[in-house]
Amino acid sequence: MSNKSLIKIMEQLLIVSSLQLIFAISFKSSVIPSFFLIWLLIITWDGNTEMSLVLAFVAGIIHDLISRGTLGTTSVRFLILIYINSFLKIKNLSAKVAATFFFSFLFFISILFEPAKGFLWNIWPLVKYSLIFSLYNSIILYFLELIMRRYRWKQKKDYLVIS
Amino acid sequence: MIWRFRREIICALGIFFSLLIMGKSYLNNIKSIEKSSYVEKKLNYEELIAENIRLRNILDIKEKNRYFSRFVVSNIVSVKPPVFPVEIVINKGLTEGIREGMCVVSKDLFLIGRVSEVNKNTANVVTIFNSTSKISIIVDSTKEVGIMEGGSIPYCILKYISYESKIRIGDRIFTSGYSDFYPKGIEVGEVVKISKAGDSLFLSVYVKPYSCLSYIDEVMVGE
Repeated sequence: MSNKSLIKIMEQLLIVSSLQLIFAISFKSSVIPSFFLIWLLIITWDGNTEMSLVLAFVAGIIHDLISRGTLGTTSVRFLILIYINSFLKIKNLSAKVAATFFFSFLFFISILFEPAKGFLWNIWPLVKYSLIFSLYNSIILYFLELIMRRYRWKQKKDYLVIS
Repeated sequence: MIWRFRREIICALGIFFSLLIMGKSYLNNIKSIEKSSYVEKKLNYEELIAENIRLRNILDIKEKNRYFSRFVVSNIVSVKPPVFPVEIVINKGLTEGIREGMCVVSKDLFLIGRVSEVNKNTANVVTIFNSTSKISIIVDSTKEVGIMEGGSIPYCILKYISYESKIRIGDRIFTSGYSDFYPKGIEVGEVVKISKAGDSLFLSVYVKPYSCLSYIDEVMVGE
């Protein structure tokens, strides 16, 4: 990986961390979307599997620091989800939205195994919040993908015009 | 060969380090919880000691009591004015059996006043400093009976003590027991000043009450 793309990824990490922090501070809701998860999924689908795994570890630690949870738990969740996701070769927008929904649901439901809080027996509220969380993430991913596709298409068009 | 499994290796290493960090963080969390529970326990312990002291004081009061057949220990809610109070509000009322006219004494069994008004959970007490207060008293040394009136802060005035009385400064004053409100023998205060007005047949005796001189937090209300 070139230095330029590494810097680009670090910039992205900074932006995503800031977004997550802003949302965590500003919204007092019990469910806030996970920008880290969306970003990691996008990086994996772009083909940077190894980098996304490393970033999953780092992003997980930052996520735990922001949410004041037990450090390392989110890293484990991210790593497992990104590892599973790395086997999927998704290019279609609707498939990406569906995958985001599925992984978001898995991510939120894994709070069941939070070591500091013990096993949560009240599953139904958790499922309800998981669905809301997954919906948020899917919507964000959908719009992000639309913006990115438009941007890429414009770049391609400009390139064709110049050439 | 290793390069082929790079994804698995990165993932395994990531999980390994995550678990390592998780373990440390988990232990730290447990330690901080233990520490906070220790602090809580210590606070509870201090509260228990304070409660114990308070209960011991109440027990002391009960043992010292020789005036009342029935009494209630009560806390003071408000004091008006803060210095030489003329009215006190206590935190016991009709629910606890407080009735109008009941006698109020301090923890050291010095006279404070009597209950003037009773609500469900509180009661108003008129102290001996109040201008409406008139108490039948007896002078310990001469056994003369007089009326002690309020309204002359920081003292109370003892009236109807004869001009020829042998009363002296420092004589102790007790309740006479002739009143409906106050039982006999409750310590009220001591004589601090005696003046003889020109034509009057009586002396003007100033009494310094024992109660209301220091901070009062608990009182005994009895009959």
